[in-house]
Amino acid sequence: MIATALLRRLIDRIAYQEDTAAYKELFLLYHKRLVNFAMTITHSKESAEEVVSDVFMKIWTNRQTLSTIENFHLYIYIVTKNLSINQLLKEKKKTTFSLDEIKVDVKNIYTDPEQLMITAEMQKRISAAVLSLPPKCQLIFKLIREDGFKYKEVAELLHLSLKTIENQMTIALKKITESIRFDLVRTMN
Amino acid sequence: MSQSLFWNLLAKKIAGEATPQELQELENLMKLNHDWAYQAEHIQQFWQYKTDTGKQESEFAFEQHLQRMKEVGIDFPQPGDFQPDLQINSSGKRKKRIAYSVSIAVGLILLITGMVWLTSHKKKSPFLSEQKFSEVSSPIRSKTKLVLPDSTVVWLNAGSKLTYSEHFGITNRNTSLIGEAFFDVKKGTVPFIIHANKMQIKVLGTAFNVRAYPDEKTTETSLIRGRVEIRLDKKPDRPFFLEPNEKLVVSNEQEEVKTKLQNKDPLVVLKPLTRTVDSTVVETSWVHNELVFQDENFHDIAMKMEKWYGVAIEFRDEKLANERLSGTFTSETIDEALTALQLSTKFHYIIRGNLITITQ
Repeated sequence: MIATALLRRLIDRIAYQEDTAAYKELFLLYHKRLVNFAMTITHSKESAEEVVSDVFMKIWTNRQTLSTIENFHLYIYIVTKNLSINQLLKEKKKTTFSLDEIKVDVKNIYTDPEQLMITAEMQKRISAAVLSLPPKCQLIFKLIREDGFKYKEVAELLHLSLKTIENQMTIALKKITESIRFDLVRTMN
Repeated sequence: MSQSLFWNLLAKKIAGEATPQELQELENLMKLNHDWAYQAEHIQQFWQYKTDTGKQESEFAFEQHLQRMKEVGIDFPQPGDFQPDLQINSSGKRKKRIAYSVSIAVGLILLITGMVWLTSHKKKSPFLSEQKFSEVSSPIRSKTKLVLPDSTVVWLNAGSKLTYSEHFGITNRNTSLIGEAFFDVKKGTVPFIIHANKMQIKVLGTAFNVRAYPDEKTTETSLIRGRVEIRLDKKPDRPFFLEPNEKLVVSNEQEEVKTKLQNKDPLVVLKPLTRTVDSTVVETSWVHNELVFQDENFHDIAMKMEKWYGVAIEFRDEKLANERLSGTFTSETIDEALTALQLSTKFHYIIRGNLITITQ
């Protein structure tokens, strides 16, 4: 999750002072998560990297207007999504895109391996549980848990209803919790 | 029905979406079913441990990104294109000087002319992803006033250094101090913590002074108002609490004292603050540009003068170093100060550049 106050400060520095150090910091903050997000649409790491670089070019060229953006965190994901879809359509020579085409890289979804609270065995179970979810559901879960979005923001980003987000989150949580529980029961026996 | 309601409410709770009513409803459901409560606890644990967004790869991607910008013809000033007033050094892998930025230093006022170096460097911890730190140093012979992101005001005495994390004020208010600083901590719910000389000082909102120069025998915490909690790193389960007008003096040679079993310098002493005849608090006098000492030995006074004037003082005579003196200096030069001290006790001094030798 990215702290709002920190983000605000970085954006103001870029917008008002053309601060290249702040720009770099912003890039480092967002690069990995945006590449992961773009990849769910482009299905290719190279294309995703290119998209994110394009997103950041836009940010630099439009720096004067940056501070007028109300929700920058959501904005940067929306821009990434749009450019990713354009990229996909161009590459696949298609004209339409559906959310059912997304693919979430499950290795980007679960836990920090340095956190020993969760065993390797449990990680396997969690990723199996996540994999068993429909892609759209995986993405919603990831956006809320790892990218720190509110239900309402995810609804806006993916053009889905708030009710859908709520339902998908309920499904995801139930599946994942059950996978952890199963492991706990096994360990105890 | 109630089962899917449970998952729905739990999802809202951990995503931070639940209303107080929904939280209450969830509580009630969990009271009815202990298994649910158990599962809720585990998923909440899992939720907290998130993927580490490593920056190594992103550093490389940024270089490539700059290259692409150049190819497209987007104007982007390269580091080193402009001369900063303040300098930010990135240590670690790259030692590149990067551009000057005002907002890191917002509220940073230089009281006395002198340069302030802001350094940000990375530290790797096994449990945290990479964190950035801001470092503010006050050079010898000058004092720096700064306002931290949480509105806490800090006066940093000469030759001192304060470090705080980039996320300071949001999730934590952790700082680390080498040297001396006066803190007027803004009231808040997040504890303000200072790490200094093997101890931890914890407050919520108060004014106090910390003197923690590594080359001195003791570390002193002096409380003006409010309440502070101090824990020594060696005895973290035994906190000390200070009341206003009290100071805690902790020996910096904790190990040594223990092994030699000497009793002359106790490990920790609680003392009242020292006041001069006109009731100036000696411990915080430096904030008002005064060097004050009240019945202290010449050796300790010399240590203070070293930092105040940016000189080195050596004694040729042990007895002189133990003479007890009082005094207040404001704008006096080192020469004038020493001459004034000669009125209290008989000694000679020689100034050679930055070195002052004191003899009988």
